[in-house]
Amino acid sequence: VSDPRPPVRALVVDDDPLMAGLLTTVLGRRGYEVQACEDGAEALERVREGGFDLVMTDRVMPGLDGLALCRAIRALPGGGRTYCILLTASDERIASAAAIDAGVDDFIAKPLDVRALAARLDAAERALLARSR
Amino acid sequence: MSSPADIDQALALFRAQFAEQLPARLAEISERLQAWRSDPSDGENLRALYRVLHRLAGSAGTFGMPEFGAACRGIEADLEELQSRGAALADVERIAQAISRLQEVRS
Repeated sequence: VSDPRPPVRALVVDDDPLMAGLLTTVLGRRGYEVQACEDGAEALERVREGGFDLVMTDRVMPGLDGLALCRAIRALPGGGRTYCILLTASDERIASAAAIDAGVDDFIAKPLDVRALAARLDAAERALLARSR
Repeated sequence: MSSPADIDQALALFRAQFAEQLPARLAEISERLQAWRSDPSDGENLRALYRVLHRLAGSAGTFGMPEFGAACRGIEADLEELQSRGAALADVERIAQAISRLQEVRS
């Protein structure tokens, strides 16, 4: 039976091309339509043009950082529907209040555990499904 | 949907690329360090060094070098603190020594 749902449209934002490449590969193999870019300002421009269900962004980037990007996405018309995941260092305590206030839906720790990533993406898909209803 | 074996295969390719790129990434850190050392009061030089260490800390652990990644993470944390309180010459030398020790951790 074919899945009637359209593929998740995802944007990966990381200034490390290898990390962006790995994330793009993992998401692509889940059947997502994936784009990648290396800085927050370009990411915001692409999100503004429309069409992303999920944005996965690093926190530390030149120019617009990950938290500022999430905050800017939330301020866009319809920006509340985008599922935002922040990539953080595993021992970072920035998780919590500041990030949630910026509109972050979930956190994924670096170093990246691709098995744990799959579980977080399951959760993201459930949330996106609920938001689409 | 991909199988775990597919992902492991992809991860192995990225690990190999990371190992290949590591000398260039360490060279970039040295360049950023020299720029900061030449003018420790320049906040942009410090931020640039912090960003390259942050990038390497996250990717090293992901691509099979957890100890090296943890060492980078330690320097990154030190640099983050210096961004808020300002760096003295002794701080710059401490960071420089920690960065030179990265080569040992790597090997």
